[in-house]
Amino acid sequence: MDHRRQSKDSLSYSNLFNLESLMNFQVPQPDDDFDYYGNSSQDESRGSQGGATGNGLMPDRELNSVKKRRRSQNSDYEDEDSYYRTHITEERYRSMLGEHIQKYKRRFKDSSSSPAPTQMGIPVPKGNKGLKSRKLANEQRGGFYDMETTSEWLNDSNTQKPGNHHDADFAPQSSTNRNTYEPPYLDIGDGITYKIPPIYDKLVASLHLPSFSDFRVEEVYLKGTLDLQSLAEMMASDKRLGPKNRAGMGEPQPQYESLQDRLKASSTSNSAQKFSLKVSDIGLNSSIPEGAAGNIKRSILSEGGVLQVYYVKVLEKGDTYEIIERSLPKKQKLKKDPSVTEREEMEKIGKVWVNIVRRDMPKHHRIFTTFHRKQLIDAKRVSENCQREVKMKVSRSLKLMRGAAIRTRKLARDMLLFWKRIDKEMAEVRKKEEKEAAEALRREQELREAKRQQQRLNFLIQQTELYSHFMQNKSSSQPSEDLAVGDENNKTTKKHL
Amino acid sequence: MYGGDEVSAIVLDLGSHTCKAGYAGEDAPKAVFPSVVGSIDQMEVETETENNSGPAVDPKSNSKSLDSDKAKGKRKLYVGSQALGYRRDHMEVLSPIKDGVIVDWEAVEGIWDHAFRECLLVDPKEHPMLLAEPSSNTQQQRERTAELMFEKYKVPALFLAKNAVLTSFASGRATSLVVDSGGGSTTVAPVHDGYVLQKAVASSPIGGEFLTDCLTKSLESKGMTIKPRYSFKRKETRPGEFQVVDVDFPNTTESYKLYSQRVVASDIKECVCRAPDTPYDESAYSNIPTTSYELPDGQTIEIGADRFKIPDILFNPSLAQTIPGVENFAEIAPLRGLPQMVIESINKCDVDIRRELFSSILLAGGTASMQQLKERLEKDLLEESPQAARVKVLASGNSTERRFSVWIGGSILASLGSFQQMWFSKAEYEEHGASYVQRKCP
Repeated sequence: MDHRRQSKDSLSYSNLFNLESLMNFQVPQPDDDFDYYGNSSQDESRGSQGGATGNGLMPDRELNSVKKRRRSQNSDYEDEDSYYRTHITEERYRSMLGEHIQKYKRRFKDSSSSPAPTQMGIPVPKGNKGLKSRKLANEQRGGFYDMETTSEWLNDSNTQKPGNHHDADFAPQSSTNRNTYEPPYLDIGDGITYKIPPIYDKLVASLHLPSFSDFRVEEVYLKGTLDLQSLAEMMASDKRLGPKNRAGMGEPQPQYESLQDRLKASSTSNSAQKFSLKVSDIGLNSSIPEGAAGNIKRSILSEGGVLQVYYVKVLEKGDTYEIIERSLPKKQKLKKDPSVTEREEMEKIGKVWVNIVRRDMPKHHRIFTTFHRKQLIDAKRVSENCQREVKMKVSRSLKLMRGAAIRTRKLARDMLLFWKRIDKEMAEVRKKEEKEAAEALRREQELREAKRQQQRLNFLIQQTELYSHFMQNKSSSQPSEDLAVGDENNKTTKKHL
Repeated sequence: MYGGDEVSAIVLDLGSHTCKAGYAGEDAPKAVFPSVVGSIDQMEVETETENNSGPAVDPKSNSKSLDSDKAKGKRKLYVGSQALGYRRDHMEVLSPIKDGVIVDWEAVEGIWDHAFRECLLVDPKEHPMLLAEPSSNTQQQRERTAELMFEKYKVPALFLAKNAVLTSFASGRATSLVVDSGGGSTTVAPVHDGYVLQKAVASSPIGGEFLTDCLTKSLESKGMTIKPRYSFKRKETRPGEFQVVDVDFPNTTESYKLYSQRVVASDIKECVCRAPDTPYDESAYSNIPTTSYELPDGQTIEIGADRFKIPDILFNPSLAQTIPGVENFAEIAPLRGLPQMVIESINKCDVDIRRELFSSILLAGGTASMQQLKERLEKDLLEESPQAARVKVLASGNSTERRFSVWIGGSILASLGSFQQMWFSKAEYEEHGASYVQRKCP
């Protein structure tokens, strides 16, 4: 109840500035709807944004921020235009949504797990912030959700509605409900369609909502313009009315809890309809992601032509330019489910395989065949060389064999000649020897003959001499005869020796 | 990922008739042996020894152990052409593959063992293994194969590739129509970008073995019997004169007799058969000159029309009905000739690739190396194909390459540098289990 009141404030605040966006969307059933799934997460985002300003209890600071906000809002409108122009496909939307859910799951893992009170602890957003976040939600929905739903947005704008008290038990119900009914669509041209939510009366029955009679709205707030004073008043009354809420005010955590529950519920609920719970994701979009460079929102067209929202720090601003610092998105470490991994792996293997088959195989086949052909040719050449070598050896030996006869004949002839020559020589030598021998014999004989002649001569002489001596001695004397005999004896002995 | 670059992979193609094994990167398999096993049940021998050793054992427990033996099916396997060439009493010749599906895993193990340990002399733990599988291999078969390879042989990496794909690789093509006419069957499989288009695969049971049987029956009907080599002794009494003495081995099994007969008959087939240029016609071929063939027992046979009739069964299966002994064949299998199978298969493919398929029809397998088969197929296809199609039947001129094209494709693939990242490694097996093979091996 209480935070609804706050929302109402925010409505009046937004009246202060600009309700253009509200005007743009002429929803046929502006009443009878309420934020059955959107509030909590939006509140969260607001809370995370505006938590520092102390729940709107410091008006002066708030004023400043209002001014600031106004500026940034203007720029947001420009962005918004671009959003409206770019038509974002459903697939893309879904993928983005999935990312956010991932992000959420990650973030909430480590948050404390105190039980979530249904309504407590929803920080009261300041009006302008509420507007802003609604604004953002607006933009995004205008662009992203196309035909998904505008109901959340409607819920936001119809803040007269009392807050719902069923945050926690609500989401699963609504999601299940949603699965069954087909909302009508409103086409506002330009390809933008809005889903028209069921009227509140219907929802009362189906969702156990407080009926109209239970609503309590103070007229003043609806009619009168809201100034700071009345705001302060209203806050004070809030304080009175909802001490319970105050208690949870300081701690934004519990609302995370309820959101977590809701996320769980949303993840358990099936298929497309769970996207209508994306409340959460509005919160995400409008909240500044961790690690952002600043807190000013800019849509930046990436090289790939994708328009993406960054939270940037403006370093310098000129008329036509703006130097900003932005943190590049961290790569999401997605936890894939096995079937996805399998498919990816299959794809990878398939890609490698096709690559091998298409590109490498013909090349390798050529290399393979040429290599083996070359090997074959080499082997052939080697074998041919071997053959030639062997043949040469063989032919050489063959030649020798054939030449053997001739050579033996020649050898025999040579030998014959040799022996013949030797024989001849030997014969000559023998002949010479014989001749020599004969000569020597002859010479000896001659010598002996001569000797014999000599002896004969000598004998004859001797005889003659002897005779003469004898004769002589006979005539003369005997003694001479004796002497001659003695001589004769000597001679004979000599001869015998 | 497995770096299989350092150690050369082993490529193994276990066909229905012959098992080819060798190192990747080579141009022909190192070991080629029949993919059948000789098996002798050890049961009888064992019970005998049991009876001898333990006379005290009461008959009850004896019979029990006998039963358990039977359940275990303990048997001794003989693998390899040498081991099978020797006749043994009670040795049954079994084929582990029936209709392209492995039914006897124990025999397959025996064949693998023989290939690794006796032919290649390698330790399977050290070499990545590339196995060729039939195009229509089931998931269970693949997983079982992976399980066996990793668990029993502890191979470091494994890859299963389809026969048709490997044949396509052997000719360096990514897209082709592979006509693989092997021992057990003939398969026509379109391959596109390295994937077999399963829905267009056509297959018939007419393979080399069927033709061999037809030839045997046909010769028998003409009074020519083929004596298996083991059943006689041949002695050279005088130079150039032989004496043949029949020997009787009553314990020889029928399957071994058939195996031995087939060895002879398939040699006759390979020597004399030739695909006819036109469809076989009994009258036209009645007085064709005969060719002589000398059987191992010295008997010379004259083969006439059968030379052409037998190969023509590939083109016109109904011809088999005229051969006594195989008349009932047609009732079992649908009658489709090779050209019809090719056309049918191509027509089942996407229109965009038909043209390319027509222009690259690859002939592979042992039966495809039959003389004139390529020319005949091309001629028949030209008649039956659409006008626009440019029919080209490609076959390697080398009969070795035709016979071993699957293996050669495996050799090319496994030696490809960029393929090394594709191996299904042991680590991956341990992490993801056998079913991962479906993902890793396309």
